[in-house]
Amino acid sequence: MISMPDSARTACKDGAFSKITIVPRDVAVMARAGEVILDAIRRYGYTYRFGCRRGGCGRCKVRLLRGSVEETGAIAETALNEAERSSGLILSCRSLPTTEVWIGLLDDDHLESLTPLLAPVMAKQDRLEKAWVPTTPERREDRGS
Amino acid sequence: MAVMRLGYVHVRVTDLEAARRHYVDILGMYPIAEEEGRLYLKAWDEYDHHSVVLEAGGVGLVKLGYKCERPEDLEAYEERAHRFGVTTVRMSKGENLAVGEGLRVTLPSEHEIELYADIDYRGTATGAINPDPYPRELHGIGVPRIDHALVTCENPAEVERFFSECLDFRTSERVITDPADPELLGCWMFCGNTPHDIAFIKGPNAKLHHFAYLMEDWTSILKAGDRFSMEDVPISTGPTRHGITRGTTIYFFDPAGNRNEVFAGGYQTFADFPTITWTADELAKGIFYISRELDQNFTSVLT
Repeated sequence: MISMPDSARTACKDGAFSKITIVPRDVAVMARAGEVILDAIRRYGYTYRFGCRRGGCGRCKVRLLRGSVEETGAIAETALNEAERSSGLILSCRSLPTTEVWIGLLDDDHLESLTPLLAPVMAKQDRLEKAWVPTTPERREDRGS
Repeated sequence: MAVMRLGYVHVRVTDLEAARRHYVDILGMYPIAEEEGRLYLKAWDEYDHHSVVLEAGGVGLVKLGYKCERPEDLEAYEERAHRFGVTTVRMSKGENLAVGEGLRVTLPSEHEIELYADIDYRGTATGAINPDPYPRELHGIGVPRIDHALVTCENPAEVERFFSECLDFRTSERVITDPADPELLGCWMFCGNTPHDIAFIKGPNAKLHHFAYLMEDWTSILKAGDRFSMEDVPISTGPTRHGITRGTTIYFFDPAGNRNEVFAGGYQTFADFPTITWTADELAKGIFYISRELDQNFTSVLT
């Protein structure tokens, strides 16, 4: 029997997890309590462009399409400026979902499944309904379909 | 007349308290002095007042301080810098806490370096009389000393010419595009006996790639890596070995996103050291010798 971490059990019961959907692929993951978007996506075995994970370099920038996030930790102005914020960009390493969120990667970024076995395991643990499960190895060109 | 070593690094940090936890609690530097929005730190095997200064607000490099052997050296460097064509400003004693008179130079790459000869003496943690090899009470990783910095610049050849012509640095290693038509992509230069005291690679001006601490050996690098994991410090790359400098390494990030390095090994350099050349087609081997693969953030994460 696989034991779930305490935080996961409690959160499932309270429904305090936040679903993150990455469009247009409609890959969905669940962020656990206190988990930033970047960490949740990586826990599901996926990866995309990121850098320092500390809000200083701006590499993990994504577009927040719907929903809201809370900024956690310091962000350098050079990493994300006012104009970028106004246009809906966020640093995924510093963003805690406060509602269900939909995000889009930037045009020259792409989502890759590093470890396909993780997505269904995490989806089950996090009680994620209708998780998109990769059945074929990801191709680098396969961004939008 | 000689520049001896990288004496201090001033970096900007978005959150001074978070940076204190990283540099003091995790890396094991000692807080020596504190001013409004500035924290002065020293490592256990350093004898000068401070080597790292954290400045609250933003990210990236404020300036690098290179210590010279004698105050008389500064005038000669000032003259050479003027002939080269860069801007210099004289620093008065005390403008930097605990530092004597000096010369502030704006490099062709827009980075600021300061040349100085005098700084308050503190002594190493082990002292200079019948010393132990290391202090009994090391905290955190217990980094012994700072070693070098790597910055980016639009014109590496011009920066190399500055350090060579004005400050008598010598080149240990270069990365060029193609031997048939060589353009300089990266340059590692020394003023002491180590592989490098400064290095620069092609990229935007004024940016910091990393500054490094010198560790004892490969085991210290691994142990540092273990501590980084325990403390949730994000890793950039490693543990691995560099082809360039032969040094073993882990690159990691401070809480503001500035890249640090723990580095061990290398080789000895002397005035007659034959410069090593790497060609761009072997860049991966030069940077990450074991995997011979470049990662997604090596050239693109800068502060």
